[in-house]
Amino acid sequence: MTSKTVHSKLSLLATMLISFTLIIVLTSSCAPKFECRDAIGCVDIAPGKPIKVGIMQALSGSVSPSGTRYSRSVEMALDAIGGTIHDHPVELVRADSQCSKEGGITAGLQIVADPQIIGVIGTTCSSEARGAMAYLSDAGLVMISGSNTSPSLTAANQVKGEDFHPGYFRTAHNDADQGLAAATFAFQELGKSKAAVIVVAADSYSQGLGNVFEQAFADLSGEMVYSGEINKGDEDMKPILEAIVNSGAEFLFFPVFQPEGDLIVLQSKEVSGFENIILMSADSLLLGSFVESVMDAGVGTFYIVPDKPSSEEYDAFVDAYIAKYNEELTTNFHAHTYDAATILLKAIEAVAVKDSDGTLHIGRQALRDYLYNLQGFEGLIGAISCNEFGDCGLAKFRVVRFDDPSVGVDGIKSNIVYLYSTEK
Amino acid sequence: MIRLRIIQHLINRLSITTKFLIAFGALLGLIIITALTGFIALSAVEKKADEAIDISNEIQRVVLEMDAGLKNARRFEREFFIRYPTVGFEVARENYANASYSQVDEVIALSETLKGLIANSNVSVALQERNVDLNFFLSAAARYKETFNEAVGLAEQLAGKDTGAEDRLEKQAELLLDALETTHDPDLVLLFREMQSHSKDYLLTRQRPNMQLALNTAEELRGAIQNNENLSEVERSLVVSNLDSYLNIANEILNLDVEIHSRFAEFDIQVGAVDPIAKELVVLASEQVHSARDQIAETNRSATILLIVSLILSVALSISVGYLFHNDITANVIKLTVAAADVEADKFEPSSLDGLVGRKDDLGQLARVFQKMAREVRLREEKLKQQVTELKIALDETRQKKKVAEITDTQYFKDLQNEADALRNIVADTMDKQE
Repeated sequence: MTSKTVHSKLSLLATMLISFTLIIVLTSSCAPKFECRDAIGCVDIAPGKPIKVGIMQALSGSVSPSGTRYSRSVEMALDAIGGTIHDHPVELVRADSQCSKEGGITAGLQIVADPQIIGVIGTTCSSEARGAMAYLSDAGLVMISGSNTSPSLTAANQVKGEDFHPGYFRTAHNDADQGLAAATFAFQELGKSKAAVIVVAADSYSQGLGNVFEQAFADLSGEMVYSGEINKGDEDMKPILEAIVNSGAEFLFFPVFQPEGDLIVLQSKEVSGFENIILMSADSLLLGSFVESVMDAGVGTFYIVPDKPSSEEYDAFVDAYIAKYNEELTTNFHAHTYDAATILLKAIEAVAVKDSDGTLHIGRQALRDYLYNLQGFEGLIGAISCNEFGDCGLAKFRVVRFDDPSVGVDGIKSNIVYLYSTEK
Repeated sequence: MIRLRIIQHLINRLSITTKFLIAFGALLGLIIITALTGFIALSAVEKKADEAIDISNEIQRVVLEMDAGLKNARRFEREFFIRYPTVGFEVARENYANASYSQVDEVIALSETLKGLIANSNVSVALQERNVDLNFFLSAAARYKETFNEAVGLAEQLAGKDTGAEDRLEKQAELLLDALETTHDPDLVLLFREMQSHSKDYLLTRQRPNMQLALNTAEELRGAIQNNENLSEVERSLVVSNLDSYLNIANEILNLDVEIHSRFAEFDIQVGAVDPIAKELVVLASEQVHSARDQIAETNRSATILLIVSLILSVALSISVGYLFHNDITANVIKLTVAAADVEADKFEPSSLDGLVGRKDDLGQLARVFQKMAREVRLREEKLKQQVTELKIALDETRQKKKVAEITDTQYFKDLQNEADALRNIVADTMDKQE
């Protein structure tokens, strides 16, 4: 091979390389680049990078059994979509919000510290959401809870709650309906006209439900003869129970958590005059550990809980859950949380825009708009539609009576004495 | 093989000067490369190591300062709540609350510095991925300040001199007692004392059931006041009003305590969330130092390997050059020397230089000339030898002739010759006669 031939071949190779580079540069510069026009910004996810979704639940403390199960419901929802959205793996980022406003604040700060997190499934307790939501909303995130029920987080009677923040949604019911259902049962079904309420101080859920009950009971022409507070951690309930006896109450509604709820039931047996007062609590207390704690002392007490879904899909979910985690589902909102997670994942899939280079762009306001406009989504709990306040849950309740501790929490939940629904 | 032959051919074409130049040039180049490699590698190691260790130490220092700053802030916060009942609210705020605020401000500034340090330096991926934690650290510190500020405000509402709820409760208790004493009903005063006792229990223990007992007693007291027939409506209204005010303040204290407790709970949760981050950052920074040292060791190893490889290559090249010289020059010079000796010994075979004469280099030319010269010398020598031999023969003949002449020219020889002739004649005559 002569040097002249080598030279001409090298020149040809160089020309081809330059031409190829130019073509790549020109075609890439001509391809339409995504420009974020979302009012509150976009999350950009590079090819191969994960879509981050937060799980904010009570993962420690007395409510952790619920928080853990709800986290698992999210995992189940993720499994159901194959773990990916638009070929990007979905990464779940966990934060323990400890079923308190303070825990919610800290967990909220942890979540917003990562600007790649798009939305959050949580929280377990309303108080956590009350603490976290201001930060999450400011950062442009959405949060969907399967178990928050406090009216203050959304609205009561079409009036925005004091803790309302854009971007907050829930598939759980609104306690504005549950309180009304409990008051209706007490006043109309049981025929009690004098009621008392015990709530936990500074607890959003407890105060929200208690306040709604008081208002609804009064609206039904009942008389609220006592309204008292306990602190988380109080052990001696006798003083407040004596105050209730002294008030002349016939009915006590106490939407509180463990262990305070256990102590109210147990110590009510030791307070003279309480044998004539009917006790009623809510889903926050009716758990397996509560039944084991109070045993026979709980006989005769009532509980208002969300109605259990009844569908083949729900049964399949429960079977799959038990098969995967080898534990029974004794919590109330696992299906609601599963639906919350599914809605968020589907919403992300729907609003995501895939760029020519494979980058995924998710508009934060677009995601919110999608959720606010959600109508008739077929979930495990039924057809889910969201309103302008973020309420997407169904108001269907059952009042159950604790007759026999040996039947366990599921048996008690099946002992239905009253059904209430806002659905026509 | 063919390539080797081509190379061999090319090498053969080069002049010895060029070969020497190339060989020694290559050796020199290799030595320079080896030296430069060592120098550059060591410089890079030194620079990188210094940089990594400096940054890691700086990160570690900043993280430790942040951690210490937060701990100091919490210490001042606790001091504030312990001291303000004795030193007074304003003094406590000045000495402890403000100190806590400035500590938090410093922590926030340090967090920003740390973020910049990590973002602008070549730190480990593990440390870079801590950006989210740093964001949280930063916002948690800011939230801590906000929460502490709220707690201080709540503490002021609770325990501020004269205006605080606790002072107001005490004053209201005095007013209520004064009003009750005017009724001259010892049962009412007794109930008040009982209520007051439960309230004080609460203020000592902060256990809500104690205040609930006070509230229960207050309701009992209210009933007793309502049923006291010795009181006029105005007096009754005044006492009830005082009791209501007392209860309102008691409830205010309960709510303030719940709020303050909430802030304390938040501090604890924040500490629980932030402490591991500070610890992990210290560990990561420490790992970064170790990593930098490992990097140095690794680079040193690489440089050593590189130097050893260069050395081996140098030796190999030297041996190759030597071998090449030997094969190409020395061995051929020896051949020429042997040829010269052979020439001298007169046993030179020109064909012994056939391999050499084909070369195009100086040695080839020398061999060719040598071979030619040797051949010519041999030819001349052979010719000379022949000439000498011929000369010798001629000389011998001449000498013989001379010797013959010397003999024949003598009288004696002539006489002998004459006698011989005479004899021969006699013999011939005799023979003729016999026939």
